[in-house]
Amino acid sequence: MSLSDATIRHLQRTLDVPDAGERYEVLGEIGRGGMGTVYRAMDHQLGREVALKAIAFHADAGVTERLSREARVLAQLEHPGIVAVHDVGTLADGRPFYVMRLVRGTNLAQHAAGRGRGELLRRFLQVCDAVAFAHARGVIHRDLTPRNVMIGEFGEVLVVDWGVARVLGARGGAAEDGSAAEGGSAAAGEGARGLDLGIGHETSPVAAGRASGDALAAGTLRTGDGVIVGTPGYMPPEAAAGGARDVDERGDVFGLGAILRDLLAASGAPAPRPLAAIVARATALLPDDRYASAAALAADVRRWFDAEPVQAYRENALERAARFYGRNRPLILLLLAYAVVRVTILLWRGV
Amino acid sequence: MPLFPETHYSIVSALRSDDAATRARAAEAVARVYRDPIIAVLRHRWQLERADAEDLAHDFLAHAFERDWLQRYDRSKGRFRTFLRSCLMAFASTAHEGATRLKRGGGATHLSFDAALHAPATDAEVEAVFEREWVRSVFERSLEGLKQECEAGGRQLTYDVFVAYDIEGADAAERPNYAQLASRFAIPATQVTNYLNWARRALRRHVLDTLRALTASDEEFRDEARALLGVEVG
Repeated sequence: MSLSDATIRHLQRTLDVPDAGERYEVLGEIGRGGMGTVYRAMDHQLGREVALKAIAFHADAGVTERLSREARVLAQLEHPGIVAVHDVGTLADGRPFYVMRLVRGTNLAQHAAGRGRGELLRRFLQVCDAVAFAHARGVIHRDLTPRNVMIGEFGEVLVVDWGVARVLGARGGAAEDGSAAEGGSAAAGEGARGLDLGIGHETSPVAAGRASGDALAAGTLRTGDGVIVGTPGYMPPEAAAGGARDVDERGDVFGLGAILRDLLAASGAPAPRPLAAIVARATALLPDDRYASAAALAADVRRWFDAEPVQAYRENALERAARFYGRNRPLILLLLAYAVVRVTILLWRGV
Repeated sequence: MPLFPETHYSIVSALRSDDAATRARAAEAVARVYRDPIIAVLRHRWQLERADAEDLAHDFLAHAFERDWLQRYDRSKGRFRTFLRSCLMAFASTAHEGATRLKRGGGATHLSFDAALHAPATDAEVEAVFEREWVRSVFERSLEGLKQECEAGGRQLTYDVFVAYDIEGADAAERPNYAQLASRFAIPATQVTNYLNWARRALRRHVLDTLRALTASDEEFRDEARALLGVEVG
């Protein structure tokens, strides 16, 4: 039988649609990357739409393990700022999948355009809180970028795409590593964004390691020493140098600092020096020069919000006075008004 | 007889077998999958009439197998498909030169490459044609495998429903819906869903088996699978 171009196009699309059994009916594709594809699906059992993530059917065993591991990581992280996993299973063709909440919204990069600094900083603090929660459970995201933060329809902030996360074991002990899947394929960059529906997009980790150009082109994630995991501009130098397994909480602090840098730039106005200093400390070249944790970074941003001195910036006397004025402006104005009235009365009596 | 006897059978490896019968079977399989893409390239690049292109394709495949060209394939240097295309281009260029010489010398030739002089195709065009026809050939061979499986397993109705919806329906101005198919084949609508799901899974299996057989390594297999389902035809 001779097949037309239209038929082949149809078959190409059809054959890649997962068969997740009677419970989940795939409605459409949200995003696609090297690791797999995320679909919008109907959960007939509970009567709701969900996001279903499945690996590409031609993926190797390493990617299969990564998907399963990502589901396990997410299952450990029950937090309002981290997308929840509802179910895991196996497709009719043997591929593993997991089901998660379907978030309708935009990513932080899109959301930031034209927003005020105050709102963006509040969003940023929510991101920090989610990351700090993960850190408290020994999970390092390793690919924090504005595109991996979703803003839902109702303003909820969700950190997504934990596919290259690292689960720390006991300090100094073994760690379960997202890059540990031999020959695993990393997500392949652009064109894999869940722009409309939020969750389920693939991230764009460059996963090349000291690998060949072919491996880079194919988005292949090499393992062991020499791994590079992250997105240029957001990955810490220790990761860019090929030491993905050396990345700890401070690697995520670097990513958060880079996000903060972007948000401050997006707000349009020049960043106040204390905030610029916070960015500089968070994105310091050496991990020891950064904040020790996402919580510490968030605390410094909150200090700025509360007009308190931030740890990252040593202010001069004038700045200290200005900050004091800004923090106590009503009281100072009241005192000034009182002083003016007193002086006026004294002068009047003197006359 | 199925096109590929074993799930993990590799034609490319079999071409280098010491056993003549194995080599012959592999050669036959290569010819079946690549014949149409080869003809398409010959027609596009040298503007050959269909009959001429078929003759030249036959000559090329015969030469390739008789002279063990394909055994020289080195997997470290790229895809088997690319290697085959390179061999074809070299062979056809030589044939073209030969035909031109004969013509200049007043001799007769059964091939006419005249049109190629007026509208030579670029390498990129030739590659695109070869890729497109290769995808078509893989799907057609896989569909053939599905049909045989359905016939052998008493699933003719499943195959018919699949063809009506996913093959003929793709070309139709208006694809029939499940209810119409259920009525046409006198089965419940839920059964249409089941049949389609089964047939799609089976066809996917055949496609992957075909690709696996046509590739020499896991890496090449994955690349081909990605290319097949990641690049649209037409």
